[in-house]
Amino acid sequence: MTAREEGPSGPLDVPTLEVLARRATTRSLVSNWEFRPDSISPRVLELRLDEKRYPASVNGSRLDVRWFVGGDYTIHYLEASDDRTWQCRWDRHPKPTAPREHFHPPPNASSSAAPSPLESDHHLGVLFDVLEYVETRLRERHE
Amino acid sequence: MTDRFGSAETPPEDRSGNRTTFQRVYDCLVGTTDPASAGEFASRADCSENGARRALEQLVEMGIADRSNERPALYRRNQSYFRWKRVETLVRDHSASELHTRLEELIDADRERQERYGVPEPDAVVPDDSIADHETLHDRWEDLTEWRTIRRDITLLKRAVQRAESSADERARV
Repeated sequence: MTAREEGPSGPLDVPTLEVLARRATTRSLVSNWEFRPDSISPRVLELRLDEKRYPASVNGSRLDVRWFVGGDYTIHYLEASDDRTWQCRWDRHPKPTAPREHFHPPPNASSSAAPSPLESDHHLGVLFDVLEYVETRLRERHE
Repeated sequence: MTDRFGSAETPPEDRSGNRTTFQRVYDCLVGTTDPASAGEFASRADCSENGARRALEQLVEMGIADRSNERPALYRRNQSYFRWKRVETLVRDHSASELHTRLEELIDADRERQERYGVPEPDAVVPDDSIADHETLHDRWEDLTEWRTIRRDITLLKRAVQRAESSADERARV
């Protein structure tokens, strides 16, 4: 991975996003997925999360996944309520002043980047780490 | 789809998704554009190194994976196979006119960016070192990667439109 540390990110990696979509929907947390704006020339994979896992005040939650050829990515978690959106974002992209992998913490996915909490660097590992982060958050909300 | 209610007692679901070793190695290969050893595939796909190598060799035979001549051998996905597969899927799922309309939109979006950045392609954009704000940098990065996506999809959609329009002749030839 280090060889391309300075290189630009490639185009959106559609085959990899298809694998991520298929594997994500084997988890009970993920109810369905869709490419937006369409499947002819997608820009983002939208994973919609099971609303039964959320309190009634949350009226929509999803993960927006972009994975680029070469392994850069941005994964954005959003939990929308009437009065605000709770969100955070995991990124891997060239950045002069911070590590290539970093995290924009909740509740606002603030622009001050923190070190990434993800342990994996390959696509499925990153996906499962993110899903587990969301699972943990939901468990903590239930308690 | 399961609809089990998530609670603190739910054990973490395993990562294999009930997929066979071959399927798990394939799923790993799809996202692998930088060469990796059978050992690396084994740890990512959670299988033995021999199991990973067997699956990878099969994928090489099928033209889905590329193998390097080094020792130990390194494997990655065969880009041209996945480009071909996507073109086939586009032709199968969409009409020629649908593909054509989208292609025109992408060509316009490409032209708009060429004008905005004043260069013919995203790789010619000079990095702007004066941008220090993370959100601005992030937006610019997303815009340039989107431009790369647009240009790649123009190439694939041109192929797909051609395939869709000539599929009748194709069938006649086969």
